[in-house]
Amino acid sequence: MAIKYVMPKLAMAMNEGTVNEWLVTQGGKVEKGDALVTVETEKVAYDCESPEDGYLCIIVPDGETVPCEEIIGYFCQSAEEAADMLASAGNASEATESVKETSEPSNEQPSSEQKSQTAVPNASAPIAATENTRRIIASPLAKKLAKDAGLNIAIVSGTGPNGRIVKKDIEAALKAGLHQAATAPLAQGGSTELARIPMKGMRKTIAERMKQSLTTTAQLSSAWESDITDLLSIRKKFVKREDSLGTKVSVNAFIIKAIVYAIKQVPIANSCLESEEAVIYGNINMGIAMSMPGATEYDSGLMVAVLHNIENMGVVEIDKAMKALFKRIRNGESTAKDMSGSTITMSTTAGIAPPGMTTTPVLNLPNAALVGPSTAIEKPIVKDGQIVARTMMPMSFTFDHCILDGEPAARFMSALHDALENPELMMA
Amino acid sequence: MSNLDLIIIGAGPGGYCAAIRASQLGLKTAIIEKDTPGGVCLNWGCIPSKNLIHQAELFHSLSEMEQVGVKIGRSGLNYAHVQAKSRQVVKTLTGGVAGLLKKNKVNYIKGTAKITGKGEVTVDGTKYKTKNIMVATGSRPMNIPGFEFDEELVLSSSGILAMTELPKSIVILGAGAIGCEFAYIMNSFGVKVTLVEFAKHILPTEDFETTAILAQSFKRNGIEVLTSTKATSLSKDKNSVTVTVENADGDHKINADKALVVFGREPNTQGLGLKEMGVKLDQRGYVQISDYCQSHATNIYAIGDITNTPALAHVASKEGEMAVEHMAGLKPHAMKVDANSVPSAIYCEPQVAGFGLREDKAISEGIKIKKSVFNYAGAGKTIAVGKPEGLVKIICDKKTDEILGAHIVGHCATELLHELLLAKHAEILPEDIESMIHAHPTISEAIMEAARGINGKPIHG
Repeated sequence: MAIKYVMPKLAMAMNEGTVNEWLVTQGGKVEKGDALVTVETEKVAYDCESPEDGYLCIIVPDGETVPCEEIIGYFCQSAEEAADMLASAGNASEATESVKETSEPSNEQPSSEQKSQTAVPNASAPIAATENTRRIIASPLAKKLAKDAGLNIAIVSGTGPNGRIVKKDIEAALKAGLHQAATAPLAQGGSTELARIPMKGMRKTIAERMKQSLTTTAQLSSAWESDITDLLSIRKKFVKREDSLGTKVSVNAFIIKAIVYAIKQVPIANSCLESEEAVIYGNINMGIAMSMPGATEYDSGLMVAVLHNIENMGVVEIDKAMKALFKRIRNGESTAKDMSGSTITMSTTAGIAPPGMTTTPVLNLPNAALVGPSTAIEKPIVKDGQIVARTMMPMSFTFDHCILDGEPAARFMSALHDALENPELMMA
Repeated sequence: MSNLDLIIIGAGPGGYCAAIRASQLGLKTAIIEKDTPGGVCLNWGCIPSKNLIHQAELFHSLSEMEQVGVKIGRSGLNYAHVQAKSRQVVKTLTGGVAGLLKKNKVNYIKGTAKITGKGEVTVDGTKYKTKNIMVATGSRPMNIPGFEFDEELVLSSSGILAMTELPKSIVILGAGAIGCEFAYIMNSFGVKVTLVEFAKHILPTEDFETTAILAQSFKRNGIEVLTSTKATSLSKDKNSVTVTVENADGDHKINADKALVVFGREPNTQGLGLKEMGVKLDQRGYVQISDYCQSHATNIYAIGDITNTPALAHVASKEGEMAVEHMAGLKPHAMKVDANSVPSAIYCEPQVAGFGLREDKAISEGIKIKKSVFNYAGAGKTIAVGKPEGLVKIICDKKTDEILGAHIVGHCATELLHELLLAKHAEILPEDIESMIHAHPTISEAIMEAARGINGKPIHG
C-alpha cells in the first residue's frame, strides 16, 4: 500500500506551502532521510527529508501551492505502483489523460497537467521562460476575455468544473486589478522587462501580511531622536573585550536590551491581538525583521527571525543568540521556532537608510508594537547650556491603537529613550 | 413508513426525477400522486403530443410517396386508432417511470395529499411524517371566463388529447407551443385550422425570424394564421362554436366544429395547505422561492410549474435535482435555473427551438450584439432530404463573441440546438464551432456556417 505524503505544517502560522522543487524524480526511488522536496512557506524554504523508503509518486508538481496537510505525493512499494497511483490520482474523467501521460517515461512531471485542473491559488504561473509550459484549463470565452484585457490567465484561479477558469473568474480577476499588475510593462510598447516577480511564496505572503496589517489594525507611528553617544562609548568598551566576551557586541544588542527595559516599565507594549483578545506576554520574544534575497537580483525578500525568551538576557547573551539565529537562517538550518512566536518586533534600517531618516514601519501581526531604529548621525545638541556634537539615532514606534492608547505608548517611548540615552539603566 | 427524509407531492417530471435523485443520495423518500406517474408531461402533454406529431408527419408525408407513384388511399384514416397508439406510448412510459421509482426504492403512494403540519403530510386520511416536503404539483390549462372548457366543443390541451374523432374544422386560440403543435397536427390530418394569436407573431416568446418561417409554412399548408388578433367572445351551437375576434380589420366571426383554448397554464397550488404552513404565493398563485427552490416555510421546497420559472418539464426536473441536492447537504452547481440557458422546443414541422437572448430583446434593452443567420438551404443535406425550409441564428455579445442566444427553425431543430446550448454553457465561442469539423452532409453544418458568419463569411452562404 502506498503511504501518503502531505504538505508539512512547519509552523503554527503556516497555512499553505509551495512545492518549490522535488529533489527526486517522478517514480524515483527514495530512502528515509534523503532530501525529498523543497517546500517554500510564508517565510523561508525548507528542504524536507523523506520520512519513508519507497518509490515516489508526485501529485503536486513544482510551483504549486497547496494547504497544509493536503496530499502532495505517495511513497509506493514499486515503480509500477507509483505509476498506477499516478494514473488513478486524477478524477475518473481525467483517467485517460493521466494514463496516457504515464506511458511517457521521459516526462518528468506527468502529473502537472491533471493537477492544474484543481488550480490551487495561482501558484504555478508559467512566467519564467524556464518553467514548463502548463496547460491552462479555461473556457474559450475566458481565454478570449483574458487576452482582450491583457490579463495573464495563468494567474487566475478557476472555479468552474474541475477548477476550470470560466468567464466569472476572469471578471473577478479584472475587478481585482490583476491585469494591471501583469501587463503594465507589456502595454508600453518597446519597454524591456528586467524581471517578472511571481506573486507567490514569500512575495505573496509579504504582500498579504502587509495588506492584512494595514487593514485590520489601527496602527500609527511616532518618531523621535535618542542621543546614543554614551551607549556607543559603552559599546566601545565591550568591543575592546571581544575576545573575552566571545562576541563583538552589536549596537542592535544594546537597542534590544533597551527595548526589554522599556517593556518592563510598560508591559502592554509586549502584546499580541489574538482572536478578539489582547494577550500581554510575560516573556519577551523579539521579532527581528531580516532582509532576504529575492527571487531575482532585482527584488528582495523579508522575514522576521525570532529571538525567544530574552527578558533576562544581558547584551552579550542577546548578541550571541541573535548572531546564532541569523547564521541558522542564512544557512537554511532554521527551525520553525526561529520564525514564529514574536511578541514585539524590531525593524531597523540603521546603516541602510540615509542618516536622520525616520520610518513608519508596518506592524508585524499579531504583534501590537514595533520599534524602528534608523541611521544615526552626529548633530549639534544643546547639553548643559553648551552646543556639543552628539550622535543622534532616529527612532520610531509603531503601535496598534486597538491595544495601546497614546498614554502607555508615550510612556513606553520615553522609557526606551531613557534607556538609550542612559545605558546604565540597562543594568537594572 | 416511518422516519422519511422527504415526501414529494406530485410525480410529474419534476417530482419523479427528484425522488430518484433523492433516493440515490440516500434520502428515505416517498412520492404521492393522485393520478398516474409522469404528470401532465407524460400523460396529457409532451409525450402523447409528440406521438401524434409523429403520426401526423407520417400522414403528411404520404404526398411525397405519391410523387413517386405510390397510391395510398387516405380515407381509411381512423383517428381513434391514432389516439390509441399515442395512449399506448403513454402507457409504456408511465410503466417505465413506475419501474424506475420502484428500482430506486422510492415509496409510491397513490392519493391526494395535503400538508397538515410541520413535517406532516396527510394522504386521504393517513398521516406521514417527514423531514422535508417538496411540492411538485404542476399546472393545469388556464380557464378564462367566456372560454370555459367543456371538453366537447371547447377543448383544453388535455381534452384534445382525449379526442377520438377528427373535427372538420377547429379554431385554436393561442399560438404558443401547444397551439402551434395542434395546429400542425390537425392540419396534417386534414382538419381546417384557424390559429388566433393576440401577439404580433405566433410563438411570441420565440425569435421573430424563426417563427416567421413557421408561419409561412403554416399558411402554405392552408392554416389560417391571424396574429395581432384578440378573441373577444365565444358562443356555442349544438355542434359548432363561433368565436368573435377583433383586429385591425375590425370584428369578425370564425365558425368551427371545435375550439381549442390554449391561453396558458395556471399553477396547482390550492388545497395543499401551503398558506397555512407559511408558504407564500404571488398574486397569480405561484409559490415564491429563494435559492435551491426553498419556499418561505422551513423544509418546504417548491419546484416546476408551481413556481414562476419557465413551465417546462426539463426546468422542473433540474429544479427538483437542485432542491434535493441542497437537502442532502451537497452544493449544487447552481442555486437556481438560469432562464437564459433553458432551451425551448416546439415540435411541429418545421421545428422551432431556441435559448437565451432574442434579437428584439437585445434591441429593446440596448444590448450590443452580433448576429449571424444561415439558411438551411445552404446545407446540402436539407435539400437531399427535402427539408430546405429553416435557418440557424446565433446571437453573440458584440465585444466578447460570447454566445448569448441561438434560435433554430427547421427539420430536427430541437435536436440541433444542443450543440449551441453546450457551447454557451461551456463558454465555447463561435470560432471554436467554426473550426470544428462537422460531418458532411449533415444539417449540423448549418450551425458551423452560422458560427462562421459571426466574424467572417459562411462558405455556402
